[in-house]
Amino acid sequence: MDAQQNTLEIKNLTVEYIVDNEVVKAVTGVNITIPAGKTFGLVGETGAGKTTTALSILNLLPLPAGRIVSGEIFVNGQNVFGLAPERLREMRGSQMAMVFQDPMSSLNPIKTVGEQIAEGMRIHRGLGSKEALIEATKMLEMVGIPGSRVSEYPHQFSGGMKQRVIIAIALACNPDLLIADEPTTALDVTIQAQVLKLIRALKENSRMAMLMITHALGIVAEVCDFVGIMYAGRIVECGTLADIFDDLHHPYTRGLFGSLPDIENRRVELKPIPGLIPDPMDLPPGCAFHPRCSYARAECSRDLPNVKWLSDTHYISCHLYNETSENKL
Amino acid sequence: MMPASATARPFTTKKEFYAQFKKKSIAYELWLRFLKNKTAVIGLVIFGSIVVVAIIAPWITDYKNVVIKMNIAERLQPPGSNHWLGTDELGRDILARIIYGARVSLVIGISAIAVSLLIGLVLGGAAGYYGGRIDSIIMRAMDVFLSLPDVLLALAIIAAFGNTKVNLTIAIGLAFSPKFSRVVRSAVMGVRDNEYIEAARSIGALDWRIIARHVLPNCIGPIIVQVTLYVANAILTIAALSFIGLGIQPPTPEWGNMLASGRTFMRDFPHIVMAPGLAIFFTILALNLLGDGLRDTLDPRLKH
Repeated sequence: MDAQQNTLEIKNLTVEYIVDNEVVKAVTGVNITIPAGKTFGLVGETGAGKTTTALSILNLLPLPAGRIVSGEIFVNGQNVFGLAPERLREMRGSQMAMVFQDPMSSLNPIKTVGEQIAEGMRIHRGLGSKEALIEATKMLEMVGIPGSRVSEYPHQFSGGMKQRVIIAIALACNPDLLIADEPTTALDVTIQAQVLKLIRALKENSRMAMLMITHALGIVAEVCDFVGIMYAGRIVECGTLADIFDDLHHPYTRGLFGSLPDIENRRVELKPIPGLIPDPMDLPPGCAFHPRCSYARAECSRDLPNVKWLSDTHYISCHLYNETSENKL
Repeated sequence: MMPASATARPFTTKKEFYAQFKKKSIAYELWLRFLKNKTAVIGLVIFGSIVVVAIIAPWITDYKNVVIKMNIAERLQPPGSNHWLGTDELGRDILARIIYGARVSLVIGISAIAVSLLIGLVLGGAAGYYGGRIDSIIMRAMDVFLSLPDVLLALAIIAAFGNTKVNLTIAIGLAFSPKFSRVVRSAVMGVRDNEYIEAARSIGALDWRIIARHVLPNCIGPIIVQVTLYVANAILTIAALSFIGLGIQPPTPEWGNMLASGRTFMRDFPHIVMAPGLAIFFTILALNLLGDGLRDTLDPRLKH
């Protein structure tokens, strides 16, 4: 595949935050490629660097704390970090858009939802306020909210409806890339199902690429084509949905699945991963996962594991998969 | 067949269900809450009557023949049926002068605060939104202004440019602008880190658009409160400047200069100074009650 076909290409992205003169390694050497029309699920615990990766794509890292150390991000073949600020601003919303995590705080409380959906269309498509509002009504209906509610305020909507409004805002200008940062985390399960259904429907009807950030494997299984498992700022395993779900390999991935209840065999005890995600200011040497890994060996605490390609689509970064190693999971 | 439970539904159609939300806009809810605050309503009523009287002044009394025309024969009359508040040392009806004085005080007071609000929104908005070096430069400059007393600053400007009404307005406006910059800055800082501001940035909105359409409208509560309170302050400053002879010049009636010229006769004819004094008192009181009431009304909403 050549670069033109991929909507998003992240190459070797490394991001640091400087907090109280200390360096926090938020993201290290992340590679993600999403072809048009496909969905990539980025999975990991809180603090693994998922949101930082997402904000880097829009080049909206919190300044001055956030710093991109190395790497390149291409959206539609254009290098996000090399663009003039004005050009980048034009791309935001029209070519790439983001759905934020918390629907309660991502809407401006004193503007009607219609105005907020219309805003992007007025900025990027140059529509007048009336035309934009008509378009906004259509968008609202597309996400399953009656168009008659276009002039209501966010506090008059329920959480799930607010999240749909936010999705409508993000989709207002038909972006090529949609970044969804835990779009269902703040919602309860039934509403989650509705929002996921909406996302799946959108996927089927457009060529839009999507980066779906989540910590729920169930969501990944429902909507994603590719999956990346992120731990302490690195992608430890990455592959197609089938690679990860049917053929899982990394001990951390294994741990994530072990933490899920099995609906068919309810008597099986959950096997949570012991310990907590490490402090990003003080990452353990070698593989960052080794203190919690039940397969850890001597080299795990010494050397960083190399990336090993198991197939054309599936790679893993773990010492258990060295050429010489026999102990594959 | 409809199930029996259908009768228990409070709304028969979707439309009806949604209609219940439409009646109450945010402004309407705030108005209801404001009405519950008795002192604030009193403030609004007093201030509203002063504004109305000031607007209809030309229909109540004649400026040329009553307000500024000397009438020595009727000088220093006590309050009575002819002159409800008596006459001053030049025989002019005090009530008429108070009414016309309200026009001067209100127009200059409100436009001066409009000037300082405009400056405050621009400087405070930029300082609060961008932070960092821009914030430091703007706010240190404002600190220099804040270290001078308002009246002194206004005095210096009037002394340099002459005391026309326009200069007086600009002088007071400039003198009050650092206070607005501070208020706007702190309000903006409270709002700018909200996720919806980040969301606006993520759809590619320009900075000025984000400040003007997302940040400032969310800061309106504290700003309205400050405007109300500072209009009172500005009116007081005009009166003070006029009292020391640097504001509005006689024969134009203004509460401060009425106090000043009546001062000589205060011992024998106290009504001359009591009328403008009470006019100032009630205006300031009304605005302060109103401002406090608005703060009580707007603050709970800002909390959630």
